[in-house]
Amino acid sequence: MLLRKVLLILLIVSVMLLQEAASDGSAPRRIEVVVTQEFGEFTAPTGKSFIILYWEELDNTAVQSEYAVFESKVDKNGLSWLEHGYGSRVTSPVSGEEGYLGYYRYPGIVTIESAQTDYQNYTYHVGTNPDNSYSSARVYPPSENYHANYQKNTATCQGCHSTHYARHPMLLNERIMYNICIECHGDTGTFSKYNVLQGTVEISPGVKVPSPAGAFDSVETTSFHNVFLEDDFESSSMFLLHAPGSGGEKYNLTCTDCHSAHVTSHSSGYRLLKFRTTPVTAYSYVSDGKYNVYYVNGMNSFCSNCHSYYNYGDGSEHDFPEHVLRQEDGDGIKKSGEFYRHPTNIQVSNWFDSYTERNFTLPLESRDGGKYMTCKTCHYAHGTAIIGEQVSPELTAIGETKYGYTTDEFGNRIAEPKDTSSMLKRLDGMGICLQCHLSQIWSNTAYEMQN
Amino acid sequence: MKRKTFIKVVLVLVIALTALFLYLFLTRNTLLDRVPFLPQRNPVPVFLYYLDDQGLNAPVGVATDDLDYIYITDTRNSRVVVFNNNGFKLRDFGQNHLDRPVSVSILKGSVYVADLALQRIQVFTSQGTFRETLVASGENKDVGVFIPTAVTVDDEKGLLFFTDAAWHRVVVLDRDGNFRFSFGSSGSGQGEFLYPNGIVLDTNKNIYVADSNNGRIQVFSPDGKEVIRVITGSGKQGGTFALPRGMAVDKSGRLWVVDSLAHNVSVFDDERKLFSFGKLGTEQGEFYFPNTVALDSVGRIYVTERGMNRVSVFTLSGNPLAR
Repeated sequence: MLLRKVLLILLIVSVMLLQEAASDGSAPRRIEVVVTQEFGEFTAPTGKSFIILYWEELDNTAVQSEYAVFESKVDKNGLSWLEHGYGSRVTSPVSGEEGYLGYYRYPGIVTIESAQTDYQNYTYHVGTNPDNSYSSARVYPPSENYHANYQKNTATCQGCHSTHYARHPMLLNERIMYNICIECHGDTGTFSKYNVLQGTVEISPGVKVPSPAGAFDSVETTSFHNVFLEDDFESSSMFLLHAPGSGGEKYNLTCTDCHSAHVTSHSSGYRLLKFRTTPVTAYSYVSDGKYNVYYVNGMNSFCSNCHSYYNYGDGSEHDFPEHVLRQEDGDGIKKSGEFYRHPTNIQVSNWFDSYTERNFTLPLESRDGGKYMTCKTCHYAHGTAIIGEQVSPELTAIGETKYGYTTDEFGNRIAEPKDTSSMLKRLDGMGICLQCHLSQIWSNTAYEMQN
Repeated sequence: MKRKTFIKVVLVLVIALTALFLYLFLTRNTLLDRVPFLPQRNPVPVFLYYLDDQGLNAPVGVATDDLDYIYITDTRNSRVVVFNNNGFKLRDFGQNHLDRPVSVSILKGSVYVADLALQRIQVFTSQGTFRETLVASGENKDVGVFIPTAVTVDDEKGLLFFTDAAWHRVVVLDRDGNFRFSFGSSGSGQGEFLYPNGIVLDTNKNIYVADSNNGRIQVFSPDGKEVIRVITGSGKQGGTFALPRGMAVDKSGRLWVVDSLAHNVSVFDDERKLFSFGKLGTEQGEFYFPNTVALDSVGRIYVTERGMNRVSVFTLSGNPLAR
């Protein structure tokens, strides 16, 4: 009897310790962001506004939060953090907040005239430090919408979901997800600053510039990730697409294969990109009238969810070894599957000389003091407008009609069937290669002339 | 009956019938006004036919003119298509002056088209001849930059109203494109908008704005200074529309609202929701991403469906005038 009691006590203590361990450094849940001119009894001075962050701490009854607020500032010089200190308990919750314990607010202040442009350069992190165990919140758009805060307007749920008469295993109304997505992100209505069909983003009120992912369906688009096809859940076949570098795997492809519709434990802070182990960390910012992204980590891991054989380096699914180049007394590039493939997810800073440094225009990930190339360095994620076309040797080898896209069931333009593709590349021909390898080219190149 | 008498009777009948038809013809608008536009109890929307010339690509905006011609913005084909009230296509226009037209309104023979991509309000004659750009984003210092999502007109005062998704506001211009006033800003408070979309006036010139991302309709006084009503869809606090967009007001003052993501159309009187119709689907009477609604003088209801590249035409059961 005594033994059972001791065991029971030990069990309870163990559970408590486990809970304590789990809560140590864990991120607060459900961060919400509000931008307002009214804050409690206070009204922002003319031309100013408050930024308010709320988050849940269900087990904390103290006045002070366990977490601090970190404000990211991203520009062409890189990423920096400003710590605003710990949050404090909301003492007089407003309507709608009463049911929550441990809500905290952080008031900030910006000029309201510049809010829409300035906010794109900020991300707020809430946690113990900016790099570890945080949750992040974007300030823009600061409202309930289909991706976050939808609990405040449950009518939004029915836009995508059906309880008893769904057409999709995730209880979605739609088999063709893109039709839902372009209701806001398309070019016939507007509900978002991102127009994925035209490949534009609104950087300030009324001002649109090219988006970093390219256009799915502008008149110039020559190749794109085909998210326009019908999902086919019950039977295999016609709508499954081969992913180059997948080792022969076929996939249905819809918007929600890459982007989570909601904020979840497997959606990255950047673009809600889905991840298995490594979230995509990146920060968008507006500078010199352009929309830019400061990439940090995770993009290659993300792409390798389908194109796994293209991904080298740490964390890659196939555990490809690091390469040591032949001129550096190594074995050269290793085989990945049946082919030798250009490594990705590798440090490229060593390729950079002063000329390359000045003229390099492609996106790289920046971390640990180094620059890393990823799939996104050479390819757009949505679509490209370049002209050069080629075939995929891998898919030719398995006899697939690779790019045989047709119209969808409603006659919407998708693409004419064709045997070649511009492969979503960022530059024509071998222009991408020269961004790094120009210094390897002999003869009277511009590089030699200038040096 | 003698032959002479018979002729007299026939003559009298012919004259009487002619007089009756002449009377009906001359007074048709007055008579129509007397016909209850909506039956009072349990109206049932009845599907009539589709407007489709086999080539619509994501139709978004729709409006009718005094002659009951139906103007549709064929958005991804960069044009406006005009149908008559028998469902026959009359003409299309605008290909050289439009990119993504999303809303249309007609004022005294001029067709005003809001173009989302060009960020302009373009003006055409009713025959489709391009007349002018009324206002372009960034080219009028009083208006500034804008992204127009919907347009409507006050035909008595000659004013044009459009919703702007860039600054989340309503802008009002006169017929020459001169700035009159604007109201609204980004936010969720009273009088604020998040991605305003459809806009329409009632007979008292109150301004109805579909405040899409806030899931509600806000009704403003004619000068835009006062919110006189908020329609939330179910009467509860907070927005309960999924994505309200296009609207129309009928002769009885009832408001018709398209909810693009609930895939239905709801009708409200001054106090409550009367009924709604449509659900997600591709069959007749169902909607697949509807966007805008317009009404004609004989009680037909036109609903654009972006997802099905068609415009569904309905009437209400008991309406003796619609075919």
